[in-house]
Amino acid sequence: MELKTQNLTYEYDTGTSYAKKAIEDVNLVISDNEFIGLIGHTGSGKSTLIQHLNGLLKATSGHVYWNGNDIFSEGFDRREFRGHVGLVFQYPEYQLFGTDVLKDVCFGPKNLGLSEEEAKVRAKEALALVGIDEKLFKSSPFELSGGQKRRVAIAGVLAMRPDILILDEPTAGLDPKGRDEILDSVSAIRRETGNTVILVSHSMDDVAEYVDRVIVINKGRIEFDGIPRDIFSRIEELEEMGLSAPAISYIMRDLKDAGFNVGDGALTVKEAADKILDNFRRGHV
Amino acid sequence: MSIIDVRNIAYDYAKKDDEGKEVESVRALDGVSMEVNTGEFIAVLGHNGSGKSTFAKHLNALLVPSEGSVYICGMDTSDTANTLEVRKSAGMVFQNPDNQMVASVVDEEVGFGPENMGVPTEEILKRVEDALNAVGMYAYKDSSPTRLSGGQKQRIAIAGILAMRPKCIVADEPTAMLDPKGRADVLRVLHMLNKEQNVTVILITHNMEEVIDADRVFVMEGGKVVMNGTPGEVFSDVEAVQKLRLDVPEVTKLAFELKKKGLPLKNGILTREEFVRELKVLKNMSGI
Repeated sequence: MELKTQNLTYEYDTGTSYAKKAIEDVNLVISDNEFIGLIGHTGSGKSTLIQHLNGLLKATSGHVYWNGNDIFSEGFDRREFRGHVGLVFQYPEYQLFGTDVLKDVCFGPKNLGLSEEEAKVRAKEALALVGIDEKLFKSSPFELSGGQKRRVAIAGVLAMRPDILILDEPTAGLDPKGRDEILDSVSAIRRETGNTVILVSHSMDDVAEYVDRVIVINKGRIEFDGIPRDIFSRIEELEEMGLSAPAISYIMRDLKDAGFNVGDGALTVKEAADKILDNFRRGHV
Repeated sequence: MSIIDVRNIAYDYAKKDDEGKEVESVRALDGVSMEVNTGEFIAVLGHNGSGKSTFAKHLNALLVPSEGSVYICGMDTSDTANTLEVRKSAGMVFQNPDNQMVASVVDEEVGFGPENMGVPTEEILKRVEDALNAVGMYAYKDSSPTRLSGGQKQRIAIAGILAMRPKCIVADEPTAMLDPKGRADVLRVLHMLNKEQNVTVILITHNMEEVIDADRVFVMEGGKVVMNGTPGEVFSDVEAVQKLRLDVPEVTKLAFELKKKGLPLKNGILTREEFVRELKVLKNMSGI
């Protein structure tokens, strides 16, 4: 599986005085089994970019290739393609509409042309992946908590068994526990299915904790693309783009400035604690 | 006199069936009390469904309590004769910036509130200018709100409240939908108004990093206030906070983790400065 963009550019309001390039010259290769964090400030082009990745928007210039085929070439089955690249929008729970949880999740696979039975099998499998108990299958989606609703909405996309799952700010508006539940589900999905996940997020702490690759978009262009440790060591540049580094990066920088030998690269509480303890232990030897 | 005086309030939501008949009632607030003095910066924390938004809506008479009373600047919010005055005293900023914009130009948006209150035109113009300057958005006064970023929209929403010259601003998760810069800008404006113009601020949030600079923190759970104190006091018990489906700032978590592993750090460390200082003391003591 390979999803590739080549010189992707999208312009809004072409030909008017409001014409604006939302993304410009974007070149990316997305492969199997990746966990990618996509970050950028509001208006940087994140949402425009992900809508290109499953063919909802057609680029003004440039191409998107799925396994080498241009998705806008003649004869390309975009409907089938959208089953491969699942997109979960912001506040996906607003899109729930089924009379019960199971029916809602069956909607996607049924649209792909699967039988009622097969759709149910996939829906149940997807609901299990996001940790929704069987007892809730017959409930109205509107009776669930905010975090549960969101997990049902994610299951609706998972039931199409996508190779790539794109989540646009899946934790926005949730409390810390709800946030952890969603992100832990996403991790579990990745572990069990081997899918590639693209997580669009404003939370640098979450990105640092979960992903293997970070893509930074600024003013419609890809600014950085690399491993979290490298990207988050560029605190000043990220701040200039209206972003920040994880809280731990700042703490470790301050410790270094204060003369502690804690090295580079700690991004999570656990990593930082290990480095600090190490510093104290080594001191005693 | 306290600017906000909430006395043992309860609030029941009626659940209705398809015919509009009441089937059951749900107690969203249960015995909440809070006294706030002029000029305080208060944070209210709680997970989704803990009752904090229901509580916020009581502070400007969008809701009135089923039991108990709420006094804003001494006015009972249950008395409809006070509603207008209460809303002038306590302005609300909501979570979604897009739902709060009504005008097509920024300065009209900010002038909407005072105009509704019948403030004379000359005075409105002055207030709009002051309010936009206060939130650092004067340069955008002729722009269309739809072309602004989320953080800028929230600052316009705050300016719209400021133009009504409230004594108190109640902000219900104003940063939840913003990026890091938008979040920092909105917080900076709230703190500046609090310090320089003595506006009382009630900030409802999930984001623990936003709570650190508050004077007092109230934690809600199941419609009740279950913890309250300074941020240092509330966050000193990391596990108790986590049990309430909440979190603590990353630096607090790190200090707590180190303490569990044997470093003698104090509880409730809230800032990087404090953390580095404490570690330095330890380092000097251990002689490395």
